[in-house]
Amino acid sequence: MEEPKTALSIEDLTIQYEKTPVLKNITLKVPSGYIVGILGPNGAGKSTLLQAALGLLKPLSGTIRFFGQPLKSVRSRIAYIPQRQAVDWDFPLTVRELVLMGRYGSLGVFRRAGKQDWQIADKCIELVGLTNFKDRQISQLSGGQQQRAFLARALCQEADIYFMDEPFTGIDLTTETIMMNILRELKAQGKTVFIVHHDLNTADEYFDWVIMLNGHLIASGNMQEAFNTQNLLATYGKVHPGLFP
Amino acid sequence: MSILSYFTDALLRGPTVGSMLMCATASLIGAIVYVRKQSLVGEALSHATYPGLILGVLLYSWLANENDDLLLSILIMIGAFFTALLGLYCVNILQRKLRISGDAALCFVLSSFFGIGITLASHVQFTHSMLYRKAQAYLYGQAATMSDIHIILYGSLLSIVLVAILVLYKEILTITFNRDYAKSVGMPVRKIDTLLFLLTTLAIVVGIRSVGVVLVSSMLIAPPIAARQLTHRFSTFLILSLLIGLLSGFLGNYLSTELSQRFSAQELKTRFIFPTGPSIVLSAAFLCVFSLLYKVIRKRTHQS
Repeated sequence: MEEPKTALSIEDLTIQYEKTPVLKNITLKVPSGYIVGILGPNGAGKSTLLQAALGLLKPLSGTIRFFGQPLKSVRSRIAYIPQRQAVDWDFPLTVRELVLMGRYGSLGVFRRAGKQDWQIADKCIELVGLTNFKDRQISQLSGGQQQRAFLARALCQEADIYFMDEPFTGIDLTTETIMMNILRELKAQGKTVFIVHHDLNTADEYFDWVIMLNGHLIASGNMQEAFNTQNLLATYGKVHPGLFP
Repeated sequence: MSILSYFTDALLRGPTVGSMLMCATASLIGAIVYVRKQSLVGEALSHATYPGLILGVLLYSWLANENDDLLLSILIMIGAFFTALLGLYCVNILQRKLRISGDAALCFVLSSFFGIGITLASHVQFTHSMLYRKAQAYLYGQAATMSDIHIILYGSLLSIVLVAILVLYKEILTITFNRDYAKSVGMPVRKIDTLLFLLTTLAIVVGIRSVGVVLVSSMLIAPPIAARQLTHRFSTFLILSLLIGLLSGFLGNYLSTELSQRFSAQELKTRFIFPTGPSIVLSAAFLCVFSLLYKVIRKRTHQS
């Protein structure tokens, strides 16, 4: 049977905190094999959408499916790269231990990481260029290196869909280049990458597909078609200066 | 007395090995509590055991006809475990339902439960004065009266904790470091949270026998702080914490016996007794200070 080409399909999704709706009636479909930007102003519900997709938030109504299946049956094919600020970097943990965590999900309860898992972790560390740092404590990395360590952990999961929460915030140029190269490589392998992003200047360089949000869905489509003045106005209330000269 | 005799002598063996096993349990659990940033939970839970242990004494006075120290120990432990869990439940309600901040909720439960305990205790003081004295041993700890039964009891509790941590090592690490990530890969976060709380309560209930309600939380805190200065690796951190706990348990007993003997030779006025519980806690504190110094010195030498 041929695999369905739709990586993510959301139907009539509504999420609320307390009693205020954060996202309202979202319906969209994203084909696989794209680098997808999730755009919108602060409080537009970008991270909320991502958390709901990962099952961290319970929606009020609506369904989210990956490759036509509910999250539960495809969890091993999905990798999450949280915001760097989400964890305590003073935690007693080395880079290798952090990256190895990516293997834990597929091991399941009771099984321990074996030699092969460590090898995969080391390979992913090499991919993100942190081999010389792998025995360091994680607080001894720069912000960009920490972000790369998170990416390496996700790569270890050997997933088909990647969710990244603001990975390009406050990182160096080296990291940005390394990360973009890896993401393009993933895309070439037919994987799908979702990125919550707020810098509009880099959007059309990074993404092939955009989801534009402002409490509700403004647009979801090909970069060339959806990323236009009209949609930007609807999303941000104004067009970002310098974006369209 | 030779060091070996602390492990062979029939009188010294109970307190020494018993305390060591108890400290190992407390510091291993403490290491996890420490990285979860819940050190205050230990303090609140330990004080919340007090009303429970008095209730255990009352229950014993109804049930037992003759002197049965083991039954008393067990009833006290069950009572302590029960009110500690009740305390934890109250903290949860205060925090989740009534939106009171974590530290305020913990301190409130700590003081009010301890207050209830003291009130109950002053009642028991007159109705069952013999039992009251035995229960008071739990307030400041009384390692000296521990026997081989305690070694078996604390040994099995340590094994339970060890097995739980070995089996769930990767889950505990992932949930503690990055909760949302753990959820995203489908780990049973809630269940493991509950298990860790149960184990923490267990470690505290075990600990109050030798170092007491008031001081037990320091056994959950000092060894992990010491261990944290010496390593950056999570597995090493857990092992070091356990070893430092073992060492504190031994040193506390050793120093308490040796120093008390040395100073008791004098006349009564100048007599100085080193109680075991506080000696254990102080040993752990000293080990903590040493490792902090070690870290500072190592940092200095690295820089120059």
